[in-house]
Amino acid sequence: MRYYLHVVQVDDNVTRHLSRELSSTSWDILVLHYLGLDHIGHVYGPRSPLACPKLREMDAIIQKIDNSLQAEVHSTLNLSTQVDASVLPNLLVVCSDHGMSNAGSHGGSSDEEMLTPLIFFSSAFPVATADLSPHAEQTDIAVTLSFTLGLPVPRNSLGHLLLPVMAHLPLRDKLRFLHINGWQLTVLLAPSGSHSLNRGHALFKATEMEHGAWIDLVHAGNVSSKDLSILGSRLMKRYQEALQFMSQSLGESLAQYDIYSMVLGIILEFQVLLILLLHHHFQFTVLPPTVALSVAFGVGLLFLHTVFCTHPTPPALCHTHALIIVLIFTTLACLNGVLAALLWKFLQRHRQGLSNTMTDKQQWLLVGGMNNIRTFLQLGCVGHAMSQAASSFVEEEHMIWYFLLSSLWLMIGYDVWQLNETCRWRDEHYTHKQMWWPKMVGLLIVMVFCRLLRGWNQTGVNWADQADISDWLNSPGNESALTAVSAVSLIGLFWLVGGPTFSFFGRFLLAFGLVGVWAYRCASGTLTQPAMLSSILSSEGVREARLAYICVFLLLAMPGIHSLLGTCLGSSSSEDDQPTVLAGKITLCPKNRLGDQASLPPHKNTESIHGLYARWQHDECSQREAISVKERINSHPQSGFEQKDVSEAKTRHLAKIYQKKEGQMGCHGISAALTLLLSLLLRPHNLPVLAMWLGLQHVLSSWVWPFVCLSPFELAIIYYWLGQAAFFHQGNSNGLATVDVAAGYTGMSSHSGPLAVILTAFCTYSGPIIWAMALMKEIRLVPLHTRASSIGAVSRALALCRALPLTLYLVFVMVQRHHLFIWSVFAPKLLYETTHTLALFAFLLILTTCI
Amino acid sequence: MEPLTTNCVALAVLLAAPVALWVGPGRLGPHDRWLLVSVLGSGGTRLAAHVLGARSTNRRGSSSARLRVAVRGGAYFAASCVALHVLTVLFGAPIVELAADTFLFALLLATYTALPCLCLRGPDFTRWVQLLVGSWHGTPNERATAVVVMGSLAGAWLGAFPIPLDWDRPWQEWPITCTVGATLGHGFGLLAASGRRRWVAEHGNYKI
Repeated sequence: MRYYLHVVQVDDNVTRHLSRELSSTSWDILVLHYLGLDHIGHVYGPRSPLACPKLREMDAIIQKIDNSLQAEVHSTLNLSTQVDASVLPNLLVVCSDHGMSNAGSHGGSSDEEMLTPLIFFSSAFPVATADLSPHAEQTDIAVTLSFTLGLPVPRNSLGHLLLPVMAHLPLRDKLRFLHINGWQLTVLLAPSGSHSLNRGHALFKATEMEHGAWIDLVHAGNVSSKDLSILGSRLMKRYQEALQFMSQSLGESLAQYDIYSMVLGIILEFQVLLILLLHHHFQFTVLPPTVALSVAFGVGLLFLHTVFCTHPTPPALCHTHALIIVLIFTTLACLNGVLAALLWKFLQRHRQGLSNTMTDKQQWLLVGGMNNIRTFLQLGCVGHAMSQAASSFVEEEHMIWYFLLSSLWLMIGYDVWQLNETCRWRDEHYTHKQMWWPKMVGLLIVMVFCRLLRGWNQTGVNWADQADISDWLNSPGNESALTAVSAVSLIGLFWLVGGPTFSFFGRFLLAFGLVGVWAYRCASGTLTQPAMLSSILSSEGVREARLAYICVFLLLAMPGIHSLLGTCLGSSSSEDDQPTVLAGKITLCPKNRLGDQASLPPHKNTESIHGLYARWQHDECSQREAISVKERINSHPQSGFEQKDVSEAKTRHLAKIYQKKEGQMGCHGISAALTLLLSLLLRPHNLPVLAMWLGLQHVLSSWVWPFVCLSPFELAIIYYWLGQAAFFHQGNSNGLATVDVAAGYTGMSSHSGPLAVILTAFCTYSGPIIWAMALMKEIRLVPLHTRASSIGAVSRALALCRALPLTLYLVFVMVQRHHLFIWSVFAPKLLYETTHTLALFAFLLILTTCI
Repeated sequence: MEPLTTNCVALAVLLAAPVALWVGPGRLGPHDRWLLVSVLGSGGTRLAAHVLGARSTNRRGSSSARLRVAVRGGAYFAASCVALHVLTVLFGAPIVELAADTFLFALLLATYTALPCLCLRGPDFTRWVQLLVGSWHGTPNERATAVVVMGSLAGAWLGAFPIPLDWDRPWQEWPITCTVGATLGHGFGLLAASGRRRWVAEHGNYKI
């Protein structure tokens, strides 16, 4: 069935209509695209027994078309007896976009893949000749077809006219065509800077003058036609030469790569990565010698750069503005200074470390213990970064994230199970209290959510055309379903964001804004309009959208409004000490941690428990971890932890109070404002996606994280992964075609450039933004005295997560700059990488300054 | 029968199964034929070894009790098939189309993972979990089984990676790469387990 579909039916579907179309006169151009041979080559190879019949079939079709065209010519000749200028000749072009290697694939640069036949049949050609120049560039076809059809040459075409196709035309027409073609190429050549230096351009200009003189001669009529044709063919030769030079230099300017800048960029990125790694591993701070080192490095770099700049072909970096160059070199110098300082410190520590190796090793064992999740997260990050070397993995990047996430949930389940079993093994009384399955329910829900989100928008290239849920919602006839689904998701959003910890005023604003979103979509006609509302709603929904925008701003300004109200009403904020109390109570202090390990019964699994404590101790546990560690302490009385500190219920209660307080402060307001803004910008079919993300956050923070022991570092990586997956959940891809530009015009009555760009960026990155917000909320649960260090850990994790794929990707792109898909696959991805890095930078700035 | 012998026989069956690619009823595709032969061969070997082992030692109780255990074992196997199917769908397998293929994959995976556990420990889910999680060490045979199970799962996991590549090969269709991966992983697991058993038998070190 598959074979039939791919090899036979694709072509039959084309041929089926051929006879009817050939006999009708309703078309000017007929394009037949036969795919069968390509499929045979890909699937079965060029030596497949299917190839020969397929080639014969193609021959027969060409014969059929040619016969039909000739019959048409004859019939018109018979009708009008003399050749009329109004009867245009036919042209049949047989060509192919690529050849085939011996393995049946293409995309490489072998002759078999790059050389294909190009055949022109026409009743206008005098005799059947085969004097086409041996090599025509693929770019020449567009130009030649434009002239044969009497159309203007495409603006960005690099090709030149194939003269043999024009052989039947008078000399003057040919020269005219060549002149048009040459003029188009000079226009294209102009911005590249080397306009006047170009040899082809000079030749063209000279020939143009001579061409004018030649036309004057023709008009004067006192030169014999023989002399005119000799002069004309000389002109033609010179035109051709000029065209050749110009298109060659244009092609070269397109394929010119600034290796120096690329290498510089890659070195820069590697330095950043190294700094991040060193910083992560040893948590150094930057030191005074940095400044001196920076200056020294700056001077060295300037010297090196001068050497490059005085090179015969200076890199593009030197053409830019002087200020930018200064900026670049300051950055470079600072970076190198920091790196040198870190390395210096590293060496110092290494030398010191040699004296007390034992404690180092012990520490390493404790910290590095058995930690499946952390190992998996690190391996996943590296694996993802490596996978981007393959063009198909760039196209299908979402697959990697979805697969990694599913595996992560499985790993977490394994970890929970392991913990549970370890506890049970250690304490017989625990058996009935500690069942495994309630802890798995949360994970199962998370997995189901992820699967639903994955099926919501099919993206990528290979499977993008498969039917998905959003397609179904958007198909005609399902408007009521779309309306119902988006209504339910808006209600869900209200319930998830405006929880009981949210203030009344905030909840009111949120509800009002969500109603505004709903009305906007109704008014713009995407959702079915209730009959009674039709009189109230504006025609384009601009008013409703602006209402939602106002709510967004008010939500953002809520902390200020609250404090204002507070001072007005005189309600004192006496709970200022609350977080500190909480912080003090929550911290479970292990009594002499290292000392007690010896007293533990010697069992292999104590390792994991030790690892756990150590992890907890090392990474400045969050409140949640304190709870989960506490659970384990309950199961493990002899571990030497103080148990009486806080009961779990009390911890949770305190956390609630804390949260409530926070809710009135800014974080909650910001997240509500962002959610509202995104629900306005996202298309209605993506509203459930937004609701599901928030639901997922809720499930994760209340039903999954309490049972797992995660450091802020690991949590940050998980949220980064979730943000990456969410980017694709909403239907984005690594191609530029999936960016929803319409979002930039939400609630706008006229075009405004920067605002449209900002709104489109918000809409495109809604997934990562939502998960970054979730991460921020999680960090705010960390007790105050360890918050700074956990923010440090989170920033390090995020920066590493971004720097690693970016660095490796730059190397991949540079190595594969001659790849067939460099412009269609790798370059757009590079744009996305850049935007993403900028967005993450902005987030880190907010994170480190605002919290 | 000695577990080591069982492992060797199971490995031989796995190696012989690709014959089904060329021989067998033409109605099924070659991949389905191979898959079914693998399931039947591997599962049959395990079950036969188990029955023979039970008969020779004769350690089980009355016939009715044995029947009960067998019925429960069958139910566990069916449940693990369904659970693996659900897990595969959660990992991204299509829900409606190719459901039969997905189920066959789940069946294969259950034969490679749940069946050895069933034959060794009987229908005792908690013990399986403890064995896999490593919280309970069990006998060397049981450790060997854990290796086989983990190998099969890891193989199936790794098998998913070639699917998105744009090579346009017919074998990139779901679930061919995963079934092949699971079988290879199972094979390596059997080899590793056998080697480990021999090593343990010679050195008598039960901690490894």
